[in-house]
Amino acid sequence: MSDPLGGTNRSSTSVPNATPNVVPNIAISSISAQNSPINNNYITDQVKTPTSSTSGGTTLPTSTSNTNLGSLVSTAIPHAPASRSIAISCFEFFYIEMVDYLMKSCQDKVKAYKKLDKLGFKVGNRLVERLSIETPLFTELLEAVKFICKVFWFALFKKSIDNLRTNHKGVFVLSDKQFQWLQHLSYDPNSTNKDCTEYIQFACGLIKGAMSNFGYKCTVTFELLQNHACMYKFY
Amino acid sequence: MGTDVFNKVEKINSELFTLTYGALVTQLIKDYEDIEQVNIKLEQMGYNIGIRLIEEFLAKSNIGRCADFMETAEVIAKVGFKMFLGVTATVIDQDPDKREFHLILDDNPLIDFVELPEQYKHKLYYSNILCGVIRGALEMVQMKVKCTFMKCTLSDETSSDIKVVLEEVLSDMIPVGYD
Repeated sequence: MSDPLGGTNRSSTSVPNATPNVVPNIAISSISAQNSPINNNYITDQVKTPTSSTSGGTTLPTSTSNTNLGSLVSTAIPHAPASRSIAISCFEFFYIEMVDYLMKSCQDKVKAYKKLDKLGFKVGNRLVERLSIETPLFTELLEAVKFICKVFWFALFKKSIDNLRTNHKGVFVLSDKQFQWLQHLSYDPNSTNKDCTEYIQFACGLIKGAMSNFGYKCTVTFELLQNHACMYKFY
Repeated sequence: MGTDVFNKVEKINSELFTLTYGALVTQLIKDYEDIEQVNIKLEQMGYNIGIRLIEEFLAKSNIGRCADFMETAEVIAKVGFKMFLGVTATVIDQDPDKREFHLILDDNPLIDFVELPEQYKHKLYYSNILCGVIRGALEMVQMKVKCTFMKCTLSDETSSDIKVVLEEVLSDMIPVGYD
């Protein structure tokens, strides 16, 4: 009732190739759901005691992370077989209109932001379900974050995140130097009454939704830099 | 023709669009309890999109003025839909006065993954935003049209059918004080 339009339950009738993928997909998601309490505890521990020495897998040397990064690149990006394209402008026109509606539908800016965030969460969650069909379950948080930076971001914007930094204690900073959704907005960073933050809030929700599908609960904040650059921090 | 233009524009994966649209319609249903209101709101949003989208269309497609309304119909179906959504529509049932036509959409990225619950069938026109887009875009080229969803695949009907009726051709008015 509350969700009348269903989720990503695409019927496998359209493309025969898709059928064998359906089963592993379900399996993966259920496994990640079972794993999630462990991961969540781990996350909350990090957040509670950000300065204390860590015990989990966070003390990962940079060298290993680099090799992992390489392997992630080499694996083919698992595109859904039936994926098709639309014009970027088509989505952008719609996106502007959607944000406009949501901002006007609530008197309170904070409420509107929450709504945008929630919508983003739903979309991110479903999108990643499809994108990760062929990806094995992530054993580490970093792997999941890399998936977001590469595969997920690529599916959304045809580019990957420009820079990923982490303090190895559960905080990740993703920066996108040319954030697509801000490209065509006239934006003055010095202006105080009109900012473009509402256009980024949705993307925060997307990341949150995607991470939650991997079983990680996170908080995403963002920072707007000049020249359409955008940074996301999450814990 | 439409394919050429579609190859020229920058493209993204349609899934983000489809899922975001679905999330928005869900939100609208939550916000307005009346389904009819949802249809109207979607149409309005489409109108706002259409009045901007026509600029992009004219800039990228290099299409000049249409000789009559029927040519407009073909351009919408073959170039307009193709350029933005990557699909084409079919024009049928043109009336002899050349003031009315139906667009048949066999394929529509908006309704990928979508199933309507029983209680919304024949009430909610899920892709009603398209009607608004057509109305908004045509109004910017001096054609006032009425655009309605006649059939929708999601309500178990055979195809999606949009009816477009030309109401009047707006005259080219020179703004006041403009010489």
